[in-house]
Amino acid sequence: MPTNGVSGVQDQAAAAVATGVDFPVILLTCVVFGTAVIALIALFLPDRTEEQRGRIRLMGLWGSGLALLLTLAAVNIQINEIQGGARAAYEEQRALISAFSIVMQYHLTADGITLPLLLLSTGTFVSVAFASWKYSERVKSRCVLLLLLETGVTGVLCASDYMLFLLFWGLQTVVLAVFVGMWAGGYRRRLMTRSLARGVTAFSLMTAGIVLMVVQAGQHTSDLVTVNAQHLPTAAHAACFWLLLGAFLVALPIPPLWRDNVDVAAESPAPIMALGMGIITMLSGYGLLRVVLGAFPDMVHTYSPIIGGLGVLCMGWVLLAMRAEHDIRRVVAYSSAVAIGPVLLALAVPTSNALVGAVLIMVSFGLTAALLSLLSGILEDRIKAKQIAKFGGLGYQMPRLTAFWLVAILSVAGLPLLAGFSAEVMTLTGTYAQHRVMTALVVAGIALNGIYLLTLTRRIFFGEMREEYARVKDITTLELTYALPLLIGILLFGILPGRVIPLIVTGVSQLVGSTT
Amino acid sequence: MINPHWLALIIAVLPESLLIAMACICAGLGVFRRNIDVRTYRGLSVIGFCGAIVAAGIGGYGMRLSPAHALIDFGGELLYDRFAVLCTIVIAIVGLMSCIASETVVQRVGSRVSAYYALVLSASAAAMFLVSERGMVATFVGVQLLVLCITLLLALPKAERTAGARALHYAVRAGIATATMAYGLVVLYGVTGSTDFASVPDAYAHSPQLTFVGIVLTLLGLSFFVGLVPWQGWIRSMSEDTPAPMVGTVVALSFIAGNGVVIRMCVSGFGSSISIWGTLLSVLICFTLIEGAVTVIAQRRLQGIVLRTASMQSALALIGVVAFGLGHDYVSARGINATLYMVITMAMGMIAMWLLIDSFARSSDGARQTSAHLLQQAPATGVVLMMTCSGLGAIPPLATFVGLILVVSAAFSVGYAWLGIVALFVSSVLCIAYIRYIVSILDGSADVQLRHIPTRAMRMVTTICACCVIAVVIVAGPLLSIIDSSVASLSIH
Repeated sequence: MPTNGVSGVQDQAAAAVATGVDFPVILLTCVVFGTAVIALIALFLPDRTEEQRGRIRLMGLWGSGLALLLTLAAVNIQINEIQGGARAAYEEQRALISAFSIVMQYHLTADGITLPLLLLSTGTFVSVAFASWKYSERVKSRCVLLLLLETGVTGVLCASDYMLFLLFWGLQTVVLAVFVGMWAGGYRRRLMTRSLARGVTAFSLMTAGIVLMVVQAGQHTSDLVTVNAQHLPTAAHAACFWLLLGAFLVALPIPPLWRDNVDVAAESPAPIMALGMGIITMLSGYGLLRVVLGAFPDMVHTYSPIIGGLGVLCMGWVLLAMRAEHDIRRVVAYSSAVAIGPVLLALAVPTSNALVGAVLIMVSFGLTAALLSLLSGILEDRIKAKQIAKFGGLGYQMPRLTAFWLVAILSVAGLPLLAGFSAEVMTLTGTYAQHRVMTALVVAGIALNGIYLLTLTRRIFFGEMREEYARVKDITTLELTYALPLLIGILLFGILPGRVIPLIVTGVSQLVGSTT
Repeated sequence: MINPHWLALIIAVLPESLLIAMACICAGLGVFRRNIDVRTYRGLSVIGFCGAIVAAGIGGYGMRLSPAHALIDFGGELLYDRFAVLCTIVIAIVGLMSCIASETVVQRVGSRVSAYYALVLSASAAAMFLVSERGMVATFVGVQLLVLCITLLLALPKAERTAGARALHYAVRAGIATATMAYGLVVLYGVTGSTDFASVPDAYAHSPQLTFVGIVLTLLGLSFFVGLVPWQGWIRSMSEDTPAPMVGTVVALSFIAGNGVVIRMCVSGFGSSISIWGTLLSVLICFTLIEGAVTVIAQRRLQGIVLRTASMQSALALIGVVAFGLGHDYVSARGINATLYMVITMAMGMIAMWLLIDSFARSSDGARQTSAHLLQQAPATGVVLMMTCSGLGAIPPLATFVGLILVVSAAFSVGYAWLGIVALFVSSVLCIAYIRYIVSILDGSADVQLRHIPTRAMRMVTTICACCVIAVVIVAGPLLSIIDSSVASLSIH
């Protein structure tokens, strides 16, 4: 397996593994469960007056902010010391259930793959907490659910035990469905049922696959690394692979199931859309890398053309579907799905470069999708319409929002010095050697997506200014508060990818090591 | 100096004896002193149940040094081991909770208060008797006692014209089930020449056909008490006018006793040398799960959801019994541990849930029982309701879901992967039904006036039970250790 010039960093990582990191040992517990504890406290606070509701909002913000600060500290320590060495970083492990045939452990770790995604998640949650500030209905429910969702998401990212992974995955699936059921517009019940049906189907497949894998591994533990290292009987191996691949593809979801996500995005308030597009989709990509590639590298290698081809097909489907849409939020939702193509291609060709690129793509598309979702919410709020035809010439009245939008779009299109560029370059250089045609098709897809989004930008922000929009306000201070961190993230990942890539390489090196 | 055997025997039968004694006192007071305050009966019941818990605890403490030690007596029909101790404690806790939170039931039974407490005490004693059974006679007697107590309990509400009919329905169904079981037991006795279930495997070797018939009939009859197909109707039929806390008590007691006796009979009695019971039970479980999933999906009312999912939860728990044996790597799959974990969760959840349903039924004048907008009207009740729904609804990462993962992994381990997969997909339907209901609680579109849970005692019991449903996830490790040590005392063939 080619390592594409990252061996030096891998050596450093290996050295770091030997030394180990023993401080701070409960950092991940604080990141994961800090939000749950605050949710529990908020649950019992009164919310009758505006002052009480403000207190609850503030608690929610504190919860998300605390998780972000701890994650920033964790990432910073790891970057500075280049000690994201494999899976030893911030490891916490103790037995959860031992009096059963399978020993379940409370095992959290954060390696080089987890940390950037953790940073993306916690950052997006802070932005969403700010973006939810203006909603005055059911503040407590919203705040508590948001914090629980964050617990689920960060738990999935940090879990290093399959059963723990399942518990957190289930939590985030359920909480997201409840969000949709409560706030996704007039068709929310129907949307919730559809979304929930898809979510629990994926979850059931995942549970079946994981339980079968853990049982067949015969180690009487559900520890992720221990189970992944075992050789399963051939039939069970194949069954687990297809169950888990199916589960994560349904959870992603691949087209045509993506339409569910689009419908939810179009009907939900912008913060929920930002979570759905920016984080939840990324989680499935993470699951594909961590579980499917981690446990079944041989099967991934065998079915590499199918997985890569599926990525290309998904991308093509998304691009065609996007052109038929006239709703700005549906277009944004479809454009987020373009990331499925390069991520699946990277999974099919798991070289170091491709996998580092896949992680970066998840981060960059997560940031841009969240930012575009929030910005489209602002636009809808100002214009009171979602149809693209009703927009036009807004750049004159909303220069700051236009700038934010342009940065996000250009990042998706792969402009140098923005997050998307390094991500796409690394992925495509990693996959080119093995799947040239598919890589070319993915490049074409990314380019087409960029062109379409730029055309959309022209229609919305440029051209002749409309009379009815002469008094439209630009982005406000509150809106700036939640859009700016995402923009800074896009710029930082674009300008300083060299700071974070060694960190990701250390995480990827173990995954690549397990596949060779 | 007292003979140690007699001392052990006295301690072993003390929980049941205490309950029966208290039941007799309640009944006697009801007959001879009619104007006694309801608190006296409640106090007597609470003393009985607390005494039973303490007595069972002392028995369990006595067994701590030799977990495999068990006391067999009454002609080999009853067996006191750590499994019996654990089940006895759970039954006593369920009974205790039911008696403490019995205000609304007492209002509806009118002057028959003493009978209510006497019957709850007797039903609990019968359930304890059943989980200690070892032979056919004890099983039959225990089952008949339980059926009798439940039938009389259902007939108690004085002001309701349907109470008698409902009790009769139950009696007829239970009669058919127990007759089926009795016929099976008779066949087994005819084949084995013994009332001990442990002699069935030997008989199977030389007379497989008759033994097969006996096992099938016995299991079919017993499946009534765990609400499996074709008997699931008895749970649903008692819903409409039965006082809700009474439903919770009856269902919880029946499920604990049913699971206990199935474990005793199948695991300790028939053992792994006979595969028929596993196949039959898995088929019944599968049908129950599918039937429950099909019917629950159309339900919007909480009562309907809970009644239809009760059978499903019981069936999910029984998967662990099917998966009791050695796994593919010759290590015990510990399916019984998973079953007991689920049964404890279910019992606590049922008590809490039916108390909550009771408060809805009262406050909405019986017309529309909905909890929409509950969070605004009664936040604490709303939170407790959501906790209970989440705990019972196989919603990850809470109790029933953890239990589900345990039973499914046991099923996968012993070669019942198909049943595990059915359970996973069916439980997702269960999950959807409860989530839809939780969203309706949070959503709040209806304008039905609801009140808090009426009395402090009921609030306390509901909160304790709901917290237990949540807490069993946090203390899953220690709880499973306790269960494991009690299951270790089962003599598994």
